[in-house]
Amino acid sequence: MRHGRRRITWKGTALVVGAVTAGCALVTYLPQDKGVDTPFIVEGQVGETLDLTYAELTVTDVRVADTLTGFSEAAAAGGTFVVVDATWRATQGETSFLGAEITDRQGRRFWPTDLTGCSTSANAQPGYAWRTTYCFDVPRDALAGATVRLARGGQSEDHADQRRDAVAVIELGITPSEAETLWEAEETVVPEEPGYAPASAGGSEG
Amino acid sequence: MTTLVTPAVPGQGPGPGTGQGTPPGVAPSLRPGMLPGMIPPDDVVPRPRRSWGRRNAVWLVLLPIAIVVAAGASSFRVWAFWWPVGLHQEVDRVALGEPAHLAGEYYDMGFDVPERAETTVLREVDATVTSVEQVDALPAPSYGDPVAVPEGSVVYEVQVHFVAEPQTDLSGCQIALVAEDGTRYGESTTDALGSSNRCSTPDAEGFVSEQPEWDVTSFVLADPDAEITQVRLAFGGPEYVTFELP
Amino acid sequence: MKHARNDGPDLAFRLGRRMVAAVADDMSTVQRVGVGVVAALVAVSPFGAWNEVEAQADPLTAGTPVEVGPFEVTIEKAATADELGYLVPEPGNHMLAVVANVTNTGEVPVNSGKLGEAIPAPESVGIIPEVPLEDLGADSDDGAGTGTTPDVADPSADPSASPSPSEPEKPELPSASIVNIKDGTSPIILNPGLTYRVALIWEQSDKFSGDVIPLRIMELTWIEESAASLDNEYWLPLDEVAFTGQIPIEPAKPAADAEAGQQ
Repeated sequence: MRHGRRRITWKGTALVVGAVTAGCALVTYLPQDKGVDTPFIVEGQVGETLDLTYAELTVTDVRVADTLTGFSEAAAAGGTFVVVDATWRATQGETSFLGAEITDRQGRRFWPTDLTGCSTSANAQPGYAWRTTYCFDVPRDALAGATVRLARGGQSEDHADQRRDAVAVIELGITPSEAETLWEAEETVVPEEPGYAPASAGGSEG
Repeated sequence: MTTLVTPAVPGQGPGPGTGQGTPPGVAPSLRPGMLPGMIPPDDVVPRPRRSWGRRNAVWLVLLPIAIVVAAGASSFRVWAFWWPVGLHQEVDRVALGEPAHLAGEYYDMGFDVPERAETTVLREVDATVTSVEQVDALPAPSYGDPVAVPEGSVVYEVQVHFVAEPQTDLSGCQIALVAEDGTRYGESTTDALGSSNRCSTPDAEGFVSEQPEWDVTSFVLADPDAEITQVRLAFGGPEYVTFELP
Repeated sequence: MKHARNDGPDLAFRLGRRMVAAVADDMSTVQRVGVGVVAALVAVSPFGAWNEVEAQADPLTAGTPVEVGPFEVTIEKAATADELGYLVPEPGNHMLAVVANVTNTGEVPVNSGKLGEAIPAPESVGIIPEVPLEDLGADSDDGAGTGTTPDVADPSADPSASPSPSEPEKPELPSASIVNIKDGTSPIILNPGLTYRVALIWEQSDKFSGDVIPLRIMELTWIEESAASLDNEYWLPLDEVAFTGQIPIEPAKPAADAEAGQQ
């Protein structure tokens, strides 16, 4: 049994190690995630109806508030609340719209609060338009140029639930000078509970 | 096999063994105590090399089987997560006014019938969709405020006749209208009036049937331009029945 | 079954030895040493062999900001109160609040629960332990059913399974209830760039009569790609104290602050 061994040569070892290293390098450095992860981004403005294949989405209004008052509680902003009114109209079947996030010019991300009747998600079926109000607490320097990102996939840290799915990114249309005015204004908003939206809100005219 | 020179008889003493680099598994002359790939001692005459396909014949046969086994093993999400949730298996398809037989198993929690708790129960229901009609307004709901028809929506009234054993569990009932383009209206377990017990009569106490036969009316919101072609009835799925509208 | 049980490890051992022999027999000495070194390096990797050497916990004082994970935390004070809003203690207890200014300096929102994980309940100051969710008797029954035979009822064998008779371990202290002092609400999401004045609140026994509490802030580490789960990109609390210090308890009650916001 000890005779006639098969030699493990340096050449063979180098071949195997080299092949494994090359494989690891390919997996690490090829931009393979790009095609697998990227959502289909549908960009738009406030008042525009966007087609996300699974739903039609309209952001009808954007407001700013220092205080939100609801049925049993009031919420004071750490910065200021950006209140986004949106209307969902599902087009395929019953759908939960879980993703809601504001992104500012620096790439910082802000998630909505569920205080005082504000929604962090929505659920709707085809056949009607469903109105939802999202409230985001953001700092002063996040207002100008911010966008809101709404989708049926949730807005986890790595956007894992939005891979290869339609995602709406809507410019809030706040210019730097408007941001100053909005920041200074002391507004109180009473967010409406979600409900059926008037037909005009879901129309393409906004 | 004509190239196989070595007779694979154990205990015959040293003979011409496998050639250098013969892969394991295809060495019929591997002797006891030898690991695959080892060269037997006293090798004198190297056997002529067989073709690559011949040497790897076993692996080539096993490869497609391995692929099938690997795909099956990694498909557990299909049956564990996707199949049980949603309507995937049409068990009956009838015309409007004809009875359809909906049978499917579900796991009973025993909320309404304690003796069925934590058992798998076969639910059998004979259902007939008797009419699907567009109506102008929603009636007053059993609970809560009246619901106005939202602007930009129309209301369909769906009437269903049920025949089932008393104590049949009716929770999770879905009555959906399917349009020509595949849009599913009212597939939620809650209907336009807020009732979450759509297959029971409005005065029902729990989620199990009380009579051998009964009728229900359910209201569904739809787009004004939708062309409704089917009604689907299910209890959460995966089984469902289809009623085709004329 | 008995045979299978006895043979199993032996067979595996023999097979393993055979495989090692098949490979190692064919190597030169240098190759064997090389493979041995590589195997040893791989073997110690899961035990944190490449982690940076743990630094000593830094001092924590009231009023000095410290960086932990995504947060900049400034502990303001500690205070006690009979009740704080909806948080009402059991008779014989009171509420202990640690007031802190917390800024999320990162780019992604963080759940306030993460702050609770970073600042655990102070130890040995009479914080009321968590009430076990399930009856312990039922729990140990389940444990016996999974593997151990009912005969092996020795509590010292598995202290975690039956803590009630012998009390071998310290009971788990609850994580803090976190309240936004400005409006009395519980901030669930701490968005980037914002500073919240929060109270971390625990229920404390009236038997405690000290005037300082020992507070620890744990290290949070960023998980870019999790090796253990499908979740990526989150802050993981480590079992490692980043800051520790004595926070004086002020007689003033933060209840006034909290309730002012609610009204």
